[in-house]
Amino acid sequence: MKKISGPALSAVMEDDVKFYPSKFKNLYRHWMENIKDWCISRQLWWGHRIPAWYDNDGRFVVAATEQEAKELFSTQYGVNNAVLKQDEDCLDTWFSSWLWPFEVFKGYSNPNNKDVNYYYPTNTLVTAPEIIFFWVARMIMAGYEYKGQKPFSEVYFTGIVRDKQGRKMSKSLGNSPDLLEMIDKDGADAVRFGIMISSPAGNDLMWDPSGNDQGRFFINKMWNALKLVKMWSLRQAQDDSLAANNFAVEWFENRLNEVRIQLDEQFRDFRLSESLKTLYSLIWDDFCSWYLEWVKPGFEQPIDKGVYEKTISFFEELMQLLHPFLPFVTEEIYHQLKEQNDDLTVKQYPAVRTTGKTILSDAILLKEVITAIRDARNKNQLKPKDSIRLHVQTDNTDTYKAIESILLKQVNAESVSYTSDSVVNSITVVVQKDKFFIETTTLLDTASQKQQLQKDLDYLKGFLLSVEKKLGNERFVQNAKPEVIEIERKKKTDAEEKIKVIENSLAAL
Amino acid sequence: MELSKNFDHSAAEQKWYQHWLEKKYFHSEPDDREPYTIVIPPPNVTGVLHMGHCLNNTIQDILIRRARMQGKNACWVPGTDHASIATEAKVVQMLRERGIAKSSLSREDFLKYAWEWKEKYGGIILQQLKKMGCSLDWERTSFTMDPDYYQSVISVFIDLYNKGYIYRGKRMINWDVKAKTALSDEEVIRKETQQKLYHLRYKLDMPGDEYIVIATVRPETIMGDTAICVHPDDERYKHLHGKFAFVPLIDRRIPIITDDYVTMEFGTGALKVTPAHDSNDNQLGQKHNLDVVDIFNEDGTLNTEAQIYIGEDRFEARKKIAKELEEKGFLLKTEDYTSEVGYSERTDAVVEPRLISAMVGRYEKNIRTCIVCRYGR
Repeated sequence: MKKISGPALSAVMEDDVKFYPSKFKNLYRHWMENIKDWCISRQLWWGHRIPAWYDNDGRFVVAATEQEAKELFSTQYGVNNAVLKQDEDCLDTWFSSWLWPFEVFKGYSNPNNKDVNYYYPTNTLVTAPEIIFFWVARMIMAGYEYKGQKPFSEVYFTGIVRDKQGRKMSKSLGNSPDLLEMIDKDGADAVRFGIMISSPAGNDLMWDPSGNDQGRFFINKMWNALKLVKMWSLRQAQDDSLAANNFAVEWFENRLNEVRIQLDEQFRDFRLSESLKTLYSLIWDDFCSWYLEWVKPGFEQPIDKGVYEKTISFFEELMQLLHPFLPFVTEEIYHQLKEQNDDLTVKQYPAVRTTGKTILSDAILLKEVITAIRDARNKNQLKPKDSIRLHVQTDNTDTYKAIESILLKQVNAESVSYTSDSVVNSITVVVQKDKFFIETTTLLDTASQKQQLQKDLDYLKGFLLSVEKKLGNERFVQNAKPEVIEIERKKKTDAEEKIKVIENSLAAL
Repeated sequence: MELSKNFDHSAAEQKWYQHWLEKKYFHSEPDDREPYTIVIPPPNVTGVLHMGHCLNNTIQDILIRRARMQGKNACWVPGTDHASIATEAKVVQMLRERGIAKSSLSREDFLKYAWEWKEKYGGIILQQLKKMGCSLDWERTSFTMDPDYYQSVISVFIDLYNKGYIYRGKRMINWDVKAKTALSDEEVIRKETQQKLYHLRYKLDMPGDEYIVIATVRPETIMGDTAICVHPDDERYKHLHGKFAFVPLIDRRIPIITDDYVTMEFGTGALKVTPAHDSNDNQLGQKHNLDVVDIFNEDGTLNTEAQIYIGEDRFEARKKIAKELEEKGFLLKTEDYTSEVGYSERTDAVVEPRLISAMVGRYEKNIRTCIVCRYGR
């Protein structure tokens, strides 16, 4: 017995048509194996009228026109020129929409035309799980029956949009916002941001209006960065002696590459919200908070022309990566950065290169050091304009030499030197394997310093205890992956080292 | 050019969408590049943009824009679905506002108004997608009732019919008395509903004052009863096999049949069989060659076959019939009873199982039936 559903079932089970998430395959199989007959008559006038023609005794033929019906009737029933009436009913709407993937290219009405041959099978279908039977399954059946091919290679099932309390959106509940009003008020980009940044709840989405706000703030942030960069364009000079800039530029180049590889992976699995978050963090943190700070020229100083041009090109590439999510603001910023002879919408992505691991980890170190020293400055009530002298105890002087000028500027240090011993009368900061001694002319409040150090010591001791407990737990050690155990071991040694340093500092005070 | 203090989203949206359209960036024609194609899930032609569309179309736009920038020939095809029920409802409403009743119009005239509505209001949702920034290939916009599309649907029907995948049958279908149309199983929502179980006495056709008690939640359908069924092994009713009883209020004489479909423990172990109003009863009726008495109109009111309470709505009739049964001594008792009842997903009307002639699609073709269909029954 030929089953019209046969090829449609195996196509999905064998991943010829891939479902995302794949859990829907089971639902699909269950339905396809328990499929019931499909009543396709609808007692409606607006639609596709059933091409069945009846005589007064209820005998009928199926034909496209009345004329053809009469001819067929004559052949079948031997009645010439019978008086026939067409079926009053129309076809179920799903009976027409199951032809959609090929018929939008006129694949049935004009078979093998150049459009259907080029575009069909299509690539991705994005739809809701509620219509997996009504529509998705049937399109696959129709595709195999009439084109001998699947209608699409993958189906991405989106969840339902719910409100903050997890309720389905409905008019009666009054929890469904007016989309067009929101677009008018917040802008299309912010609304797109808001919906993509919503937190997942299983397969569904919990939409929060604050997502739109976050989008607007993000857009503002980028706009402000644009204004900052444009100001620099007015004062450019040739000055490649700025080694600091080379580090920043080289780092960001690699960071961009690293993110592009991440995005490729995320898009492959339809993890689009993650991609947006990745880009958000790249732009807000890495580009605005770090990169622009590192290459920023001093007050009324020019920026090196090369660095400026690199900055513009980074900004352009960021806009290019963000463009699919927020098309309008990115196109606008792209054109504001400099005179362009193309549009962002059709600009092609450059090839992905290999990423330099060293510079990426060096930059992470730099960020941690800057953060830790700024933290220490704040804790010791040092004002931003109070300069310090920095002493670094490290095995890695080469790395630090490369980032010296950035470090100096970012922590307001007038000098940096390398030492193999601790420095008396200084604030000690530990980052990864390195120690920093902050020398300041400001009178240090030893009492509060002692208090702070004691606080830090107590915390670290408690932390060490919890790590040792974990490592002493037989079940944990037996079941955890070796990498996980290694991380815990490292936490232990780091904590022990930090404790030693603090105990020394306390003794020195 | 002086840079504005803040990003002006309204100005940017207008400017850029217009620009992209003028440059035909969203339009695609076959060429040497690898294609990346998405066909939009066609929204109802009556549709207005809501959050579900926002999510679904934002995702599609992200995928298409990215593909376009990755050297692919990106094509995102827009369109709308004619949405039978939703559109008819909108057109009927429009007519009502003009003081015209659908019942006063011929099919042709109604369709003229429907097309008028479609031309004016249909596809507003597509304009709204532009506001979202969706990069659709507008030159390829399709509608499920475009002339070519329409013909294809008809041709597919004829083709499947000739192959034996479609047949005309008397189908017990889920009927929506409000929309007056058939519903597929997926359009029926089952909900726990509190009802009353009525225990009714049917007088037996034998000397004396003997009766058999049946339990039912639908006393308004007794006029459609054409048999009573008991389990063949049920000791309580062994003496009634082959006997007859009378339907209360209308005095129809009906046979007492046996079938192991009956659950002896439920109610009284005796079921009334109403082949036109219950799919299980319908199967029993076919098996035992019972008469079929259809007592409802398409709007859920009682028709002339019902003999009594003609024209009454089924739930109104239930109340009145229950009262009459009680007054005349046919009601033994009522008890509360909760079970799952089907409701129309569209109109929330209680679904009425109904026998209609309908075209039915089957997924497994049947050559034998195919021949029977082709040459009529």
